[in-house]
Amino acid sequence: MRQLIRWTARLYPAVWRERYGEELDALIEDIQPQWEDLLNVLLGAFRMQMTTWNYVKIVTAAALAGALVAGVFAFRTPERYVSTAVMRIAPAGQTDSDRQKTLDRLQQITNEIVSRRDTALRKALRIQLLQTQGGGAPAFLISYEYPDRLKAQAVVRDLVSSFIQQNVATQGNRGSSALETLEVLDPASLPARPLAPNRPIIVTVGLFGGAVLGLLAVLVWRSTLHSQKT
Amino acid sequence: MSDPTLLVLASLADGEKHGYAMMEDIQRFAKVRLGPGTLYGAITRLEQRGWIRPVGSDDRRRPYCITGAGREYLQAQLTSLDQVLKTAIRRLKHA
Repeated sequence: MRQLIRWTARLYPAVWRERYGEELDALIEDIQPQWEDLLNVLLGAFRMQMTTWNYVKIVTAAALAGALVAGVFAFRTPERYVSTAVMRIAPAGQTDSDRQKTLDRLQQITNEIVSRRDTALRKALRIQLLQTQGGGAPAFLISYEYPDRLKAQAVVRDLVSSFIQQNVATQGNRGSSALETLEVLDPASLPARPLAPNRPIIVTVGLFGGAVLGLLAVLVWRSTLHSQKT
Repeated sequence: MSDPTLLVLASLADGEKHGYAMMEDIQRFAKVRLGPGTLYGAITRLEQRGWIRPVGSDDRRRPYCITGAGREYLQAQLTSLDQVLKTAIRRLKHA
């Protein structure tokens, strides 16, 4: 413990250590060291550094500390990959009524497919109708978010197959002659980059956040010292 | 009273002492244990303000003594504290 406190005492500014270092060392030798003393010396060194450093040094150190904390957070946060596929369902007829029926059927197929999946998958799954110009065949996007990009792609691929199978099955059950055609516009993508976390952005925010906090801390600290002196 | 600078000045008021002696003395009369960092933070500030000064010694355990300015400052602080105490005690009696 005594040795640990001695090492901690090296965190004091060099100028301060030159003047008081031996005395502090002798004091550490004399006392029965406790954990509180270690913390006390650490805080003392920090306070002394704050009084001897200039603004630029403090703000730079705070910015680097902020970037470090943000970096640790960013690299501890698991990556999230999103695989997507785009499908289109062509209505059996050209009228607005045919189009509405197709959309209703698409909703029905989607509900059937999604209801068979587990809750975790449903949470990370998104099926979104895309805007089609001039009332064309409705297209929809399937996207799935997962930490493993290959798994994300496999899930979307499986969903695309399920849509095709479900479409064939339900139309077969209806015995309809006017069949909706389901086609794959974009197959399940293999995401090259993670959607999240955006590590450069997080580290940059940490850097600037640390700098601002450092500046505020030094202003408060110095004004407190000034009021103590007067 | 827990201001480390006042405690150190009060400890040195009856004669020179080194760090460990101050720590022991303060613990005895104020029931406050100053950590090494707090004690030397206070010593640094007090020396910078000219309220204490080191006494010439070859020992690593360098003693300090209170200066005239330090004594005046301590006196002023104690007078102020005394007024607060007297007022508080009087008001407690009448409450």
